[in-house]
Amino acid sequence: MTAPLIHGYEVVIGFETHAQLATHTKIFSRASTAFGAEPNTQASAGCLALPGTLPVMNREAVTCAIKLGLALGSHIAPRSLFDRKHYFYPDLPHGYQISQLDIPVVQGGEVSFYLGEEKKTVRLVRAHLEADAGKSIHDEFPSETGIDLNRAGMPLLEIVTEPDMRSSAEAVAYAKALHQIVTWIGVCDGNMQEGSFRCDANVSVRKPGQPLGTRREIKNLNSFRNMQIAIDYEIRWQIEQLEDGLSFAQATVLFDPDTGETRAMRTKEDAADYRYTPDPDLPPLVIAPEWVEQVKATLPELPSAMAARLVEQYGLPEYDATTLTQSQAMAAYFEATAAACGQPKLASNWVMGEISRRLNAEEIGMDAVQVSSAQLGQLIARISDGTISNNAAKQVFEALWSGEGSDVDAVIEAKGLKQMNDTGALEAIIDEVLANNAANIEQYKAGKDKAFNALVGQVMKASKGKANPAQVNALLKAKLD
Amino acid sequence: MKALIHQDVFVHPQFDSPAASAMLEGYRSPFIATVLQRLADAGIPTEGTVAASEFGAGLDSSADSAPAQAVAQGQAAAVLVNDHLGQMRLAASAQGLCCARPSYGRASRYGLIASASSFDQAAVITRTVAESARLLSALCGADLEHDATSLNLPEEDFSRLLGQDVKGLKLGILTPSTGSGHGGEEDSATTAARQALQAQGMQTVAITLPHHAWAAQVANLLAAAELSSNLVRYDGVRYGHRAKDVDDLQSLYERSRSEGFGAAIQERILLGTHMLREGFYQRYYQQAQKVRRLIANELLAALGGQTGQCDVLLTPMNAELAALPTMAGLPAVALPGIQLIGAGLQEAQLLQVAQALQASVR
Repeated sequence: MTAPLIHGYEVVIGFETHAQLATHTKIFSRASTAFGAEPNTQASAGCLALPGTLPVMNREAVTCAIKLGLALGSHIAPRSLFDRKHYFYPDLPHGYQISQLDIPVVQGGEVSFYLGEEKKTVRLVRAHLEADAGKSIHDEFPSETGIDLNRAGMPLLEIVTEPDMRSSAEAVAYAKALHQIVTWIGVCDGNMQEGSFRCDANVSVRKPGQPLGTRREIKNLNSFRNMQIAIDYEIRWQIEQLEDGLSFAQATVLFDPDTGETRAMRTKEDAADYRYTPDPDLPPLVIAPEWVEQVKATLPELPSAMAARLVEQYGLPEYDATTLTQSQAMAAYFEATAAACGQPKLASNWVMGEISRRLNAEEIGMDAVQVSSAQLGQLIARISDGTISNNAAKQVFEALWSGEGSDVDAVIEAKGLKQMNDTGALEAIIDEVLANNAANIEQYKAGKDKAFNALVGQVMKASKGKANPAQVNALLKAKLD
Repeated sequence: MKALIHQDVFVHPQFDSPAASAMLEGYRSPFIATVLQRLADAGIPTEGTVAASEFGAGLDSSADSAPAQAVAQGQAAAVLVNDHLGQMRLAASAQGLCCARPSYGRASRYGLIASASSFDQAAVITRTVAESARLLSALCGADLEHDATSLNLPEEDFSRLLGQDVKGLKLGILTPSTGSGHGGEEDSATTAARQALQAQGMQTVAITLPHHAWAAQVANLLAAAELSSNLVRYDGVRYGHRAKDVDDLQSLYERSRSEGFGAAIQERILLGTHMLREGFYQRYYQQAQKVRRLIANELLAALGGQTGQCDVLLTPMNAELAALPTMAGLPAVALPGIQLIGAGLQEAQLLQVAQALQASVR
């Protein structure tokens, strides 16, 4: 499928994502990386760039980079270099950011994902290690700016794609897929609000077959929702400019979540000359093949491989497998539930259905799920052995979730939800219903299926919902035919 | 007389380290430089400071002679200095003293206020080679936790070969590059040193380093580039000189730096910044790096341990040749009028030859 054109324009999007690496200490010093501490309490002499301090590479950050590179099928550079990127800013204590310009640690690779039914692959250019800057706080002190250096020196991996995406939907799907991988392998906590996963989108439009148009880079995309809104706004803005015969400069724009608009921060003309230079304090980063092998051994089964296995092992549809592998926690929960009940497809339905619904409704993660996989497994077992109906199971589920009960069988008992599987009692009810609904019987015999359903309904009602619908069907059929 | 004092570019919680700059006037570090800690641990704690040129950048030769003068005039037995591009060895040599710098990476740079990172190197000025050897043995050692360029090598006693026969060791004599007036010509001090070591049985080997005449200029350019980068942090925001009554951020930067840095440093910052600008970087910085690599390779071929042509290289000590060993991070000892350059990590042998020379002169 070719990408949809918008007013005759093709959209071209590339991404730069800053993933904050989940290390214990900063990238070039031993200061802690914990989030949310009092300002400047997690800034060491090195983070403050005190005279005489020097950067020393944190091996844990390199291990994270190797891990992500392996997960993305990238080349891990056996030797990469660090450079200084200079600019003056109060929250940049050294006056330069340590980054990797010419030879990054992770080279190439790709991210694959489904956009609807269609499989998409976005090629990666590179991922390089760099140190984060601190934060400037403009709104807390009248006419003054506060500087918090807790974030200074946090380890970042900047992941850069080729301009492979052709719609905002594809861009968001890419970002979600990348987010899934970094959190799945545990190199980044993925918290977009706290800035652990920051996406910048390079957007341009062109008439099909034309060279790439002027691009503008949107910064500050701190949620998937904002990402979509911002990119759509930017596409519309660029097309309007071009349609009006106006040109625009290559620029960096900031997304304002309050207005849903993007506005230019700086154009290429005011772009600083960063005076990139090799950092004489850091020797080349040398990664021996043994290090790569060690990291490979710790790599968990990746989501795409796991999805394929779920299809193979449990006979699940592709859709289920892809959905269940959105996070490692959800996949693990599914597998435990399936093992507990022996009914993989039912387990999948419940995890994708009730469980996901409740988690979304309460805006909590799998770590806070209120029904254990053992409980859900038992509940599913009670459905499939005919003890309770699907509707009754939902009531049991509610009771388990709310903490009203913890043992499935006890809840079924207490609520009187057991299905009526006793043929004799059921037959008595059916006989009574048939005796009181002669009209329906006539209609049924005249060939109207609706009349049969009405009779089933009457029986279910008379049994207070406890009758087994399948059994009612069978008995009614036997009596009428 | 104090046993040891240090140039004020090494940080110490008990001494200010202004780096001879108004920018860091009154600056007191919360931590101690590794080399000063190691010297203290060896029973040689520093007892005071001495200033040289601003940020140790070698821009004022009279200021740079102050550490050597402190030894010459008997205020201290030894001074710990940043030899940088060789100006400390040059000053010590001129005052009849010994100054020894180890191989790059032997001595931790943690706590040494950076001037030009790839040249900055702790060194000692003493009266005798034996005293230099004792101090270098104490201050050198791996510091992997604090300095990524620190070499992961066991500690060594650089005094272990002192007094041993130098007979049979090969002494390289630098052949002046053709037609150049770049200080390679053997002068009277070098001739005397050569004859003294030959008399002790050392063989002489003529060494040609086709590009050595460029060493001083290349060092000068690269040091300016590194200095400009290392000094960006002095912006008046967190510590150091901060201009008063500024209107905005830009003027805070401009005035703090204009007031805090001396004229010579500002000129060097401008030169270094220019060299790193887009479009000029390849022409100046990268070109200078290539020449540095070229000279380094020539030096390593001459002094390459087992396969090298000589064990120790003898040259005159002058402004043109002081930076030569820094091209390849080689150890070097300056004595009156001459310098000896050792093979990488062969400090013990270098000091052995230096001591043999000093003994013969006395």
